[in-house]
Amino acid sequence: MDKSPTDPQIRPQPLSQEDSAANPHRVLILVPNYNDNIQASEIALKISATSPNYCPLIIDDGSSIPLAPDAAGDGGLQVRLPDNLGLGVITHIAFDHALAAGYRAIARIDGDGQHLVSDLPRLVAPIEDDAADLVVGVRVNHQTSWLRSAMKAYFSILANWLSGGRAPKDVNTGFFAANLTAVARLNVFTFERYPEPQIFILACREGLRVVQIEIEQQDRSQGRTTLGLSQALRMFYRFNVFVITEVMRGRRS
Amino acid sequence: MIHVAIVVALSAVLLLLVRRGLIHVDMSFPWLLAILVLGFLSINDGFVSWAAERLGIVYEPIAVVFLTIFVLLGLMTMLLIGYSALRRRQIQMIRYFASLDLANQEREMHDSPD
Repeated sequence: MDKSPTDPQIRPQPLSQEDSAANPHRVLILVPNYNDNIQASEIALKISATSPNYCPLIIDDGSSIPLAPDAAGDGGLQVRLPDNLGLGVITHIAFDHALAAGYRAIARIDGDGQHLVSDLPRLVAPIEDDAADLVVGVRVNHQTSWLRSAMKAYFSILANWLSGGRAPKDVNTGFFAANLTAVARLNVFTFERYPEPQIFILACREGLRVVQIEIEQQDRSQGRTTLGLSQALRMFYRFNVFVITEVMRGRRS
Repeated sequence: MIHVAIVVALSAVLLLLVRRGLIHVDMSFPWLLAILVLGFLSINDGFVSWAAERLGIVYEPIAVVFLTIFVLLGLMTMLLIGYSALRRRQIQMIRYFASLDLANQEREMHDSPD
């Protein structure tokens, strides 16, 4: 008979207090990957080289070719999902692990090289100084088509309305960091496929301290965005459903 | 007689799909119920006339078509709810196994002599 996850024989051994207390100063850096294996691995190695307190975590979202066994390097973690489940599930897995293993904070950097690893210390600094619960890297040089610009403006207007003007200027950026308080508060919600606006708006509405820093987005050196027209339309639909849901739930903070 | 044969044939096809494991038995139940109830009710002239009169439909057979569409929409909604629940469970399991994998890697990292 197949074993279910609740079977005691395969129930995961929770990290011992010793193991979960081994990371109090460490920051888990999430590198989501979908068919950018080489670049994601290079980013993970750069992260490890930037600071001994940074632990890269590559989560492969069902790429057509699996990651190399040592893609995250000696001091890194990696996990492969059996299917393409989207950034929402990836974010939950990273948040689950940051909480279980007792990391000080978690940051996310895109696996396609669009964010600079050298910006990570600046992103994490407000959390290490206990000046913020969530830090958002706002892209100041983000050039895109008129359709995406219009969508971004629409997202910003509604995000500001929902958060009482506290939402970051860029609610679609994938470069952000959060402390464990924010992670624990946000992880109870269900994140959708492109969860960034959801995360930032919920953080503001939960009364978390949200700080933004300016970053420059780099050009994608290889691969292409997963956000095609069909995905963009679905993201637009999901965002509107999220807004309606939040309005129905009422203003909390 | 042909009407009854059609209803029986549709039910048999559904049961065959369940038997081959292509449709889950829990999800097939509302479909079987719909085939049997709608199938036999549409054969009954008295019911068709009554339904058309209640719905204000002049051409009586159309009443059965409307009822079928209504039931199909209900069934599709039930299937969507079932599919969403399965998807939620699948994601919960993947989160569970990923946490297991990462906890093991974390333990190995801390246990290594470096």
